[in-house]
Amino acid sequence: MIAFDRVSKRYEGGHQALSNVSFELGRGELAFLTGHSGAGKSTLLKLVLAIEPITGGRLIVNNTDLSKLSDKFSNKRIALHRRQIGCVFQDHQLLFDRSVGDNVAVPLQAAGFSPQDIRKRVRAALDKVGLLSKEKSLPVRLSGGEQQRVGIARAVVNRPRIILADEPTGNLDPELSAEIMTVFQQFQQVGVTLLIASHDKALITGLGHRIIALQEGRIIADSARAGHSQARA
Amino acid sequence: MEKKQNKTPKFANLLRSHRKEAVLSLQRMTDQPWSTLSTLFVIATALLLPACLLVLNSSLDSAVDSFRSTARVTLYLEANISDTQAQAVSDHLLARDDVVGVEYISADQALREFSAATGLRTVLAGLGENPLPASIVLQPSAADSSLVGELARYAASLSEVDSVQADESWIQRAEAIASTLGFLGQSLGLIFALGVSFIVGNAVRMTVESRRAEIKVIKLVGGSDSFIARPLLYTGLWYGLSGALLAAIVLSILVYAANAALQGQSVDLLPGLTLSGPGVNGYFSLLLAGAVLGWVAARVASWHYIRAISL
Ligand SMILES: Nc1ncnc2c1ncn2[C@@H]1O[C@H](COP(=O)(O)OP(=O)(O)O)[C@@H](O)[C@H]1O
Ligand SMILES: [Mg+2]
Repeated sequence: MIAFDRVSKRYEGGHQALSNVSFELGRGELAFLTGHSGAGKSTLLKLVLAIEPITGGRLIVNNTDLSKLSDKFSNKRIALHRRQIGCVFQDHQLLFDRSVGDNVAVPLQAAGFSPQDIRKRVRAALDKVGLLSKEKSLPVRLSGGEQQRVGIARAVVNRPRIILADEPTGNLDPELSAEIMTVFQQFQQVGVTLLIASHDKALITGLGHRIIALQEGRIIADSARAGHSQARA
Repeated sequence: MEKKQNKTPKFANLLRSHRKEAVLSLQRMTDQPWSTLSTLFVIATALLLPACLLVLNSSLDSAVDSFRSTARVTLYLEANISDTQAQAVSDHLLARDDVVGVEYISADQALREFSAATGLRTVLAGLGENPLPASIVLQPSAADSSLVGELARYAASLSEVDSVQADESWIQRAEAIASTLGFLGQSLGLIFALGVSFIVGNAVRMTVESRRAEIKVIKLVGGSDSFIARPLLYTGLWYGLSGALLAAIVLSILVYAANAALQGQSVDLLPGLTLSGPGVNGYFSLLLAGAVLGWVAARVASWHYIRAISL
């Protein structure tokens, strides 16, 4: 689903955010991306989402080669690419001027679904995160954990093959964080590929999933390849 | 997972989305009535000035035309020409294509009319000899009215004719004014069209700015730039169209008021001069110009400002 092959990313200012990053994530796999702040986690996710172009190596996501993104890809193709990917953010990026249901509907509207389909899918997505009763509420009236679950509902409403999450539990207490992780694991079980960036080691170790550790833009450990990774870095 | 990930938007859905965005963008404009109104006012003013000049131009043009059809060319005959000779000249001129009527006024007749009109009968009688020349008044044909100058020159070349009086220079002056107004209207129209584009572009910029968070989210979840731009294009369209509508309303009021003022004048500025509005076609062109201008400007501006939002 996601294949990084010696990918590097240098920002326009000259900062080398990622160097020689290689890993593959298969269908239905869940992996955590860890590392200190500034290690390059968010940058890596932005490459997958085609927000930033890669500056070296090869990156294939969902059979799309993103290597020459900036020149060859039209705005329309980038939009189509992003529709295959759901993303969840630390600050959940909800729109506070509209109801929970309308927030979840945004990806479907952008993809041109009919109002009937939108209503159906929005309710299904809210049901999956246990917030069906809050469809008509405004996001401000929800707790932090509930807001994040709305963010997840929005990420999955388009039934994406891939879900990316950038510090999805960054603002939540441990109990709510565990709850969010459970939701992610449920999506993994139905075949969604998930890549979740988090610096919360305590939360992710012990869940039994693959962990990819970044430091200063390089992979320093990959639990799927324990033993080799240290030598490679 | 469902196989059909990307349902191609059906035409009906696209149409529905367009209709929805059209209504929504109108609603957003009415949400901020004062800023919307001030923008509309500026757009209307920018459209109004060239429209006024073009209306003046075409009114003056048609006044000149109708004046020409009532124009007369007066030939003053040499003193020694007899009535018979004068009749012959009249008949000769009437045979021309560009003349539809002739009226011969003998010297005696001219004196009678003059003294009746002025009441100076005794003074004139005291002169002994009639100082007024005989004259022939020609009515140029309406179809050839633009050739009045040529007719006058031909008449002046006749040996029986002493001098010719035509209102040609007058018409030329009015024509010159009309074409200057037309030129001004067209060039100001172009310049102000650019101005209207900037105003609409700025309104689009402010809308993008106020919806920055929303646009970011839409981009992240796979909304294309054209989807994001759609409501902005309608914003531009509505601004252009309603600005033009406002201009059209003010223009029709101005035309009406100006005509009332013209009629109150004791002197005719130009016989047959009334301001005629731009007519159905003119008003339609004005609205169309506003709408197209708004749409195009919004398209260019939204393309620019939406791309500028970084994720
Ligand atoms: N848009 C940008 N332009 C230049 N440098 C950036 C940009 N975004 C991030 N960086 C730099 O890249 C490095 C990695 O950042 P980031 O991917 O956000 O790390 P993390 O998410 O692991 O905290 C940091 O040093 C950061 O300053
Ligand atoms: Mg980060």
